Amino acid sequence: MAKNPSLEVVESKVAVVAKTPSNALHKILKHDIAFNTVNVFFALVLWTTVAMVVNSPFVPTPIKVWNATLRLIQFGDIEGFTLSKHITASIIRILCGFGLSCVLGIPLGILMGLFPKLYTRTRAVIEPIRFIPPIAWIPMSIVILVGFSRYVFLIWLGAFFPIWINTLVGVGRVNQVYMNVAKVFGAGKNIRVTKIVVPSVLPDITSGMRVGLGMAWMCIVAAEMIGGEAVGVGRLILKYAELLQLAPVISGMLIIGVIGFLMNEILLQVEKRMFKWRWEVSL
Amino acid sequence: MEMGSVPMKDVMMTKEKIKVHVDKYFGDFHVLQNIHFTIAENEFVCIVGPSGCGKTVLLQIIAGLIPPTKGQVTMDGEPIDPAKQNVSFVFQEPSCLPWRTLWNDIKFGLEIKGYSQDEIQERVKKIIEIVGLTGFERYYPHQISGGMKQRVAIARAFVTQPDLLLMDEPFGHLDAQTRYYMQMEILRIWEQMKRTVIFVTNNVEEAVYLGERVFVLSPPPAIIKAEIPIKLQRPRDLTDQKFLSIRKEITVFYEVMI
Repeated sequence: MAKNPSLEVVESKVAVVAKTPSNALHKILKHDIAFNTVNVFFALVLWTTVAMVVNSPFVPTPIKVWNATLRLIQFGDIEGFTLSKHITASIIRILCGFGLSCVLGIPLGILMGLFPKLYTRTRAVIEPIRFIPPIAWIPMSIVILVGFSRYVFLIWLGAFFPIWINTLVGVGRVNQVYMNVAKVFGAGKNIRVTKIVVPSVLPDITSGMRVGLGMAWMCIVAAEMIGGEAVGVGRLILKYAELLQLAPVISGMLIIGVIGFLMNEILLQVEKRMFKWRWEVSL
Repeated sequence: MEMGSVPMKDVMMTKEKIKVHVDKYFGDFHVLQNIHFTIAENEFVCIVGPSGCGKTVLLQIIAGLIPPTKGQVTMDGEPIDPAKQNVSFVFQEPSCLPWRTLWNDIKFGLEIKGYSQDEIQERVKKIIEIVGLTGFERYYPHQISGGMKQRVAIARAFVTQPDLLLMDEPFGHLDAQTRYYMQMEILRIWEQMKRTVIFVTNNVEEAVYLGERVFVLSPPPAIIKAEIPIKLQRPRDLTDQKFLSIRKEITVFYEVMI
């Protein structure tokens, strides 16, 4: 096929250039892990210094928090529930609330994006709800809901909107040239949705999911405040807050942070694998 | 104005493929004014005109992507409809689907039209050879150069063996050298696969190099200012006296318009 030898040379160069970023990414990642380890250490040092300067029983040092965590793992809390029980309960609730947000938010976002009138004619109903803090829903959910549905509802409130909005906005931004490519080949609306809209919006959906996941964890304390059961990391925090024991409270806070961080990392990895076609995956 | 009468005689000898007779308004803005012409089967027609004269709009109307305000476009006597007829379009903007590999991108049209896997396999392989992209089948658009992307778009347009191929300034974003190479490529593919082609450009030299006929559009409301048959031997020589005089003839229309 070598009609024009000089062009062939250009192409093979392009191919080489295209392969380097993954190597470069690997190097940066290695670097990042090193930097993050050092920074975690610095944060602990800073925390210890502050705790020692303040020198109050309500500002525990990292070591006290660590010991409190070990006690929670071994002996459980004041009611005897171990840390693993708390964590499992919370993760199940998060996954249910978050899952429901995805199941409702993604199709609704796509639908409203495809038929903008569905959104523009209902936004006076939907948008105000978005701004009501989940905590403000506590009294209402106590009255209306019972049991597990309370957890799911409050977590859903937090996670639904970011997922829905990101999907909705993404559909509106689908490149019209891609739509025309499909149209000229005679693709009907359904094919255009499955072959152009959905692949175009997938990155928006996953970034909405990551924001939503963060919101879900931010609602866990509110949800477990009213859930009625004595297990859950949020519940654990509330129990020890009432006792004014700050070490286990901070332990619970850090556990939420770390689990959220890990879940986000998992989503990021999935995203990187799914979107090999993208030059970069946003943070 | 009625310069169409002379070359029309030649055209009539072969089968009439495309018939265009349209008017287009965007609100009060009159873009296309009584544009009418016919194109013969397997003819290569170029449309030139100043920037913003409605070339793209005309091409999208011919493709059936946007409706004309008045009149219609027919292919083989039927009103144009991409869902029923076999049309391809090479867009001015980069149009490779970023989530598809080069191979999957090129087969997109065949996939929509429901060809069998074997047929797709065979055709895509062949066209990739023709456009010289062998070895890059598994690359994503972000990994290849601009010229290669445009070749992907051209391959995707040709692989469905369209009855009508529309090209909207397909080489506008390319550097001069790649552009020249692509012009030769497109002629080679066209000579191999003989299709009816309408090629829009703002580059007069390109139009004279490629077309069998060149239409010159005026600024809006656009009319067909002139219709010039190019009866030069191929491959055409850009420095040939006849070539230059035709090129000059067309360029004069540009100057008149300003």
